[in-house]
Amino acid sequence: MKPRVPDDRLRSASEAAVAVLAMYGDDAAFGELVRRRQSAIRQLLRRLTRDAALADDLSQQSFVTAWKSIHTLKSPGAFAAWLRKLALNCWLQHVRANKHEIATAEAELPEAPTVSAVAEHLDLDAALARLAPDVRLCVVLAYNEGMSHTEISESAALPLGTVKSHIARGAQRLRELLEAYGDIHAR
Amino acid sequence: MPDEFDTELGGFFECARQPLDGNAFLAETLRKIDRARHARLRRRLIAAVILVAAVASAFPAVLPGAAVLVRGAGEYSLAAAEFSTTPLGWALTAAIGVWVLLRARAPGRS
Repeated sequence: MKPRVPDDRLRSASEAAVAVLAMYGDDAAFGELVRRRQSAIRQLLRRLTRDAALADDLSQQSFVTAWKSIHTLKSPGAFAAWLRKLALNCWLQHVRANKHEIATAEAELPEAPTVSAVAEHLDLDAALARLAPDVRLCVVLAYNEGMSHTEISESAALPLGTVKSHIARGAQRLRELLEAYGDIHAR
Repeated sequence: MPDEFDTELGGFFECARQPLDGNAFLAETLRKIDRARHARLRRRLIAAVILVAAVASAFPAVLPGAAVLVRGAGEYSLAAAEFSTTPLGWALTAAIGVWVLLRARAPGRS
């Protein structure tokens, strides 16, 4: 039985220190990493999938993959970026595996947000769902995660020029959709 | 920070962030990790059983060859022991010893 670090000490420890403990097989430390990172990963996947249940499933899949392969983490300080990459891979695999269903669901979306879709608050996810998966990925990584074009290019395995054009095009399309939202509420 | 950042659009993303209740999610994730741990343990146990079974089944075929090897090694070591008590054997052993010592000290010199 491995000696366990008390939970209150884990909570106050730096993420890099907790990641080191997790790399040496401390399950309580890995639980602490899940507790700290779950919200960011779920938010990211919710932006990408527009489906809370699916986003949570993919998030859990990402954490299980992280638990299985944490020994391959090169730098404990880079845990957050490494985990985000795993989550993106989970989503990309899901998109590839369900290409047809996703394309059908997106084709069925109305051209502009409807009053019911945006009734009480701005449904950003509904607007994002109208973007192609690659474009959505670039826009979400830029605006939700604050990543630079170069970082996005590396994480999404897309050429830098493609990333730039996806972000410019995606942001333009989002602005149009959000303006349509404003018009609906102004009526 | 992205290279070209539309602050208005960034504001929309900021507003869309909502605090998510982590307790149920955390419990479910830890349960899935526990299941993965059990599955891994099961796989390792099965692999160990298969390995033991393979070794046990191969043992009768390997045993005569292994016995010949062990006997040969024993005879060789006996001959080597006898040789090491001769003056030539002693000189060779001493030369090997000096070579090992020199090799061991070599990194310290640089």
